Amino acid sequence: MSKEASLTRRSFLKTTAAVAGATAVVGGGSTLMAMAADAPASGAQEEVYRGVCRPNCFGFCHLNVHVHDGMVMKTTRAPYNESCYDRICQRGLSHVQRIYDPKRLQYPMRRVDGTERGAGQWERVSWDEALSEIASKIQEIQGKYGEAAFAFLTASGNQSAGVTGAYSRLLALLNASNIGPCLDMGSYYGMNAVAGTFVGPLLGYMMWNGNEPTDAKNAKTIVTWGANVTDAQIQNWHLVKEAQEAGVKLVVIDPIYTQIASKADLWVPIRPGSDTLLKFGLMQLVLDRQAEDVEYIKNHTVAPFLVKESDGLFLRRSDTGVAPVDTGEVDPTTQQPIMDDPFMVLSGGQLVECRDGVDVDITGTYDFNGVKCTCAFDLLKEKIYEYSMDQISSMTEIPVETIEQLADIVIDGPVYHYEGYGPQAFNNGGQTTAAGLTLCALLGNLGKPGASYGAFWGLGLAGSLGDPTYTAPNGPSTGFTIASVDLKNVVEQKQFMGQPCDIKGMWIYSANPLNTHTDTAAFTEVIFPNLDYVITADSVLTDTAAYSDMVLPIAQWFELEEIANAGQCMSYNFNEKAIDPPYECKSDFDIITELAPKLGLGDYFTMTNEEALKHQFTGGLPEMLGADYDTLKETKQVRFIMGNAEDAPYIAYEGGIFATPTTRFEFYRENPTQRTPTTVQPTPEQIAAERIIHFEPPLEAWPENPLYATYPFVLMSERPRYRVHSQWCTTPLLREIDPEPIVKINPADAKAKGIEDQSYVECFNDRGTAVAKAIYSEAIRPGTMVYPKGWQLDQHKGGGWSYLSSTEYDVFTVNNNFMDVLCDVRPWEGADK
Amino acid sequence: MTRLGFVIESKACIACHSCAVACKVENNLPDEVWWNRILTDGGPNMDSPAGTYPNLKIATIPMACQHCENPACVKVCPVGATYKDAETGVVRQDYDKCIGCRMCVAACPYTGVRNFNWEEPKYAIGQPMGALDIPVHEKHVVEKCTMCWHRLAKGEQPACIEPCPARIRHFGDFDDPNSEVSKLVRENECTQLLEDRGTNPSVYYIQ
Amino acid sequence: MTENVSTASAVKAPAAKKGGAGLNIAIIVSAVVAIIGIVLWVMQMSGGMIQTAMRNIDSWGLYITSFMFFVGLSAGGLIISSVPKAFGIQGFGGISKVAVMTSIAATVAAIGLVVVDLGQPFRVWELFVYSNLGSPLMWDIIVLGTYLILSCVYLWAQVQSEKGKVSHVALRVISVVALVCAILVHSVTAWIFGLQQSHEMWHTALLAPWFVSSALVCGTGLVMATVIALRAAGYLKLDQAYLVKLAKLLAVFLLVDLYFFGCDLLTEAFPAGSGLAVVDMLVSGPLAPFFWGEIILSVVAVVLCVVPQLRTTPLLAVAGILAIAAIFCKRVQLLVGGFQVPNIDMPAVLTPFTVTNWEGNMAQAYSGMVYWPTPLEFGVTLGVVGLGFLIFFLGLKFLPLKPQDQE
Repeated sequence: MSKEASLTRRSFLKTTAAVAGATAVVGGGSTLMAMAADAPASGAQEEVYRGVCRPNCFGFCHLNVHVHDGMVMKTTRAPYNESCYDRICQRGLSHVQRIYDPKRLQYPMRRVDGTERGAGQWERVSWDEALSEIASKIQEIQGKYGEAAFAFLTASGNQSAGVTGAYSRLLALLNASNIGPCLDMGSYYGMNAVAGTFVGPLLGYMMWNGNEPTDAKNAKTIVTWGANVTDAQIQNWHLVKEAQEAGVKLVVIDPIYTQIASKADLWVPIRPGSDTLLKFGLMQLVLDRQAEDVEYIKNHTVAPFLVKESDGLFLRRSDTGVAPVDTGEVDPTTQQPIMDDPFMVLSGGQLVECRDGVDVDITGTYDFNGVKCTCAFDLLKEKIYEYSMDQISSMTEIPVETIEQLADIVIDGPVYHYEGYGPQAFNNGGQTTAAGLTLCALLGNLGKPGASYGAFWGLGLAGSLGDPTYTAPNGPSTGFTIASVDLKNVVEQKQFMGQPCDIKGMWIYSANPLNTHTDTAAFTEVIFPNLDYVITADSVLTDTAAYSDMVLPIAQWFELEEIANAGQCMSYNFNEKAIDPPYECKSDFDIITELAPKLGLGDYFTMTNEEALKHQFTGGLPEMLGADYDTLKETKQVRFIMGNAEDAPYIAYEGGIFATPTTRFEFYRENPTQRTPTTVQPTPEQIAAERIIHFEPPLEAWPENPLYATYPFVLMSERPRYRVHSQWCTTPLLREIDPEPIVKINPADAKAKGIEDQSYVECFNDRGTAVAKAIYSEAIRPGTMVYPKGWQLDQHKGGGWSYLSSTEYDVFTVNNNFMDVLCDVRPWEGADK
Repeated sequence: MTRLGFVIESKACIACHSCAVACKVENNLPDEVWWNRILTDGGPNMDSPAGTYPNLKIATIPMACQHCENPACVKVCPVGATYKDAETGVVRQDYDKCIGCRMCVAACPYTGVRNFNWEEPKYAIGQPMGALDIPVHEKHVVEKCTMCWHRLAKGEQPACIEPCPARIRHFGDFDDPNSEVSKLVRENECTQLLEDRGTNPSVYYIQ
Repeated sequence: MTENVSTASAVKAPAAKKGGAGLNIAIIVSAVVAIIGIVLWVMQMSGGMIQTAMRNIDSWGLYITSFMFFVGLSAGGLIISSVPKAFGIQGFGGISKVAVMTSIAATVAAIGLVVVDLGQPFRVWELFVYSNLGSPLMWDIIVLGTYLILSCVYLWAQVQSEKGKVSHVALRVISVVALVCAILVHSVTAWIFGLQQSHEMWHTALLAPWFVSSALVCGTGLVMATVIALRAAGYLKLDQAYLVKLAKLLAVFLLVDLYFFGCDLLTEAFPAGSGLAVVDMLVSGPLAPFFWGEIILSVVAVVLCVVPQLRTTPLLAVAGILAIAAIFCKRVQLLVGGFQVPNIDMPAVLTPFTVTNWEGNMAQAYSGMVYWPTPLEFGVTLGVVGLGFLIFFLGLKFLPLKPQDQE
């Protein structure tokens, strides 16, 4: 016999019972009589802890972390309180190889003095030495260039209350600057523009609002827009599949034949960057067919409001000379008195105050003291009909019949529009979300079961609201908040918001901007050379860490207690400490706590990690929300939005209420503002154009761009199946499946370029190059190439994907334009590094 | 009698490899060894479809040992190191007995499900992973999916079932008419791989 | 391999003069080759069979190819030797013992090739303890063992018979048993492949008779080449008429073998189903050199054997060697070809264990020959062949193998 456990009769019967739900009667074979006495004993040696997987694929799945003898043996699926969210994936299953990855950082490392950043010369230093040096460098930089000269940069590598709280506290105490991520912000901007952003203690911060994915089953059709659910958010695939099994149709709009496209009832291939046009085409057909929901448009959108030609603002009663009246009520968020100054609308052609019960006109113009006022709906229609159906068909490269077929589908609601982040990764990406929501608003396809448009992600606020002073004990930081895509400009101009600004030191945590942001060269050629000191806290030597002066090996997720407070399950998720950090790794929290005394901030960091979590999740609000520390520790998960995933999924925009200034759906806005301030300010013309949803071509990846003649391929990325962003980039078992950078290319394009299947190619444009293995795939739209993201520079034979993209950004969305990139490709003739 | 096996609704498989990874971790498979592989039924490369853009199709077939009712491998093993467990129908492999002749590898029609450890097993990480009660991997013997025998012994399902994010993997007893798998096979059009070889696999696919 | 065999016999045979210095050198050379082979085998065992080109989807290679080949070679001698005795007809002029000796040497080499192919050779004892009598490989091991013993007994009986210690009746009985065993050993070797439903190319009822015919071809070829060499070396004398008889026989065997080949190809190709892939692979695919090699070598050998003007001694030796080479080509086609057409070739994760050429996709892995041996495999195989030669030369030196009347 092998050293295998024998299958005992007793346990076998249990198997049969468990599996079949019935007890089978089995003959007494001798093999089954052999008792596996050792099986229960070995089982007893194992401890199981609750882990929360939090790379921000949006999942935040709960895992069982199996520990034996102080070592993690494996991770398995753990039960969520709502079993529809019991999930794990190939990445969550491979944590054991991530924790014990031979490439994991084991001790603090300092760049060897006199070597170039990125040269790969490191010396091991003690924690004390590292932290003393960091403290003295921070003090030196802040002393010399001002407090704001030191900055922190983070992204979504570890979305949890403990780590975020500790860094926020340190940042505020140091009055340091904050470099904000610009990742997938086109979609956020577009949603915020037309529908507003819901924030509240009972709601969290609904950064990407939409109906909960478990609501998809209540739709007639699910339409995915550039959403590679089956790779990027595979945790949601089963919900789509179950909806399909229940009879819901699936339509996939994507330039790429993704796995989910292969499962769809209808796949609509589309030219990249043209989604907004398709939505305008659909809106045309809605109006042509008079399929719009007039009542919804009248009562829940700004359609009836009169836009003054003079200043682009809505006509209010105060314009007629009646001063706003104090209602006696106070706005709970702004603490300002609420003034009554109703909008003026037309009713039967007469100018009236917009009050409940008034039957408003949604079309028409009115001459108000010589100023032409037009119903916002008319302005919208102008935009909708700006391009003819034939133009739209030719620009989107979708046959008119298909657009008409799609119109049949979207009109026949409820429709669950699942938006991905592909379409918004172009410079015009803010509008695609705004247009999608407008299409739904026209149809009244919002705020109801099965009727939704958007992505879905929120941040719980119980922790930060429990003690708002925790993250800013002496008030908010006086430093700058700079968008990461604008950092290069700030560094070059040495000023920001009209003030001198020279970022000279940076601490990067939970982020790998050189890799996962656009324009690696912006960092390596401009930003980093300006920095006197760069600290990166990470668990492997990422591209960013490789270019740093000091690298701090941090504890992985299951090596400390945490409360992960974000994601698509909209819950506070309690992560137990399963093991001590291996080697010399330390949690970010402990690093900060040990650093603080060296900065003279010791008094602010006296709590342990557990105490700090307890502190944040104790008190009136967390307890009222049922999200206090003790409850979280016991139940492991508490939802921060209304309803429950299985029976009463969260519905966005219920009752037709929007978090906009008018509380209506604003396809037209009075005051478009930048998502975040930048060195570039929008011009009055840009502001005027931005008021209404509109289509504009991508910055680069568009056929009318003369650059197209030189660089005929649109270079698109996909969220990698075997990483999340750049996390798991060195996990050995995943690298066996997915060993090296690839670029997928249509075989016809490849052959025309003399590129053989599985050969190394160089993708290039004026900004940079990336070498990868060409993979023939008919799934790839001719004229495009697709690469899975997240390969580190040292994993490429040359270059890197983000060298090809730029930090040029749309002035309003201030977003990373990951896919607004043109390039060409040629066989690679270089030699291995 | 009992005939344990799988029903895989492969029509909803998205090739995520979770089952393969779960198998690899649970069984502490050495580097480069995969007992459960995810096949692309389409173009020349993994995840590439058949056809010409935009008229395409692709299917995915997760494939491990088929635990055939009439296994070709068992017949040919000269020393009985690969054998069928009479009580469960599981096709088992006794590493300590295997002489490494690879007759079973040649005989198995399901190309690639059997793995010969071509060298001393190597492990990317410094310590074992997965279950505590799995057999030690040996050099120069043939291994394959054990149907997680060590888990069956504890009344658990194989490790590849639960983690499937698409929730398309089902496990049970085909000889029990009331089992989930029997019902699935009754109520759906199921296929087995290479039915013409007469091996009658205990893995059914709903495609 | 073919060249190795031919050069080895060409180089060593002339030196083997009546057990003189030449034979001693031949013994030393073969022993050295065998020892080098053993050293390489030890390397293969310690460093792992990853050093071979065999992988999960081409799990057998040169060793099993050569095993098939040597089983075939072993046949000829015994059959040539036993048929006349068994049926009481006129033989081939006293070459019987030498022929049997070639059988013994080839059988030892065949067994050696199985052993070097095993991952766990030290578990060979299990074959006798845990024998699965249903396994064709087990049958083969039993039959091959029996065959080896019988060959030895048969040789001993001939020697004893010559001394008058064993009756001709007894010898005749032994030769009948040996003949049956020889037929069996080829059939069973064929069944290792032919009974597998997993490889379309192998799964044919014709395989067993075809193995017998192939064995007759290369066995006869080997006997011819050997006796010509031994005669040239002065070890024995043989009337040219016997050689001509052998040559005619060889031609017949070759034609039968080609006939079987034709039958098989037609049966595979005619339905234009999946079998067509097998035929395509042979005729115009990666194995075409071996396919056409076999055909051309066979045809040339037949011509040399049947055209009286060409039946000169050197050309007959060439014919024998060509026949052997043709059958080696046949073995390569069969073994590699079996793996060359996979049942399931859909792309999936490829690792260094999956297939030799794993750094592309499956189509690329199969675009050339899916398997080609590594130098280590050539070395180990050569070592085993050296062992076969060693045994043969030792037989020549120490056993009374010369025809009785020539001693």
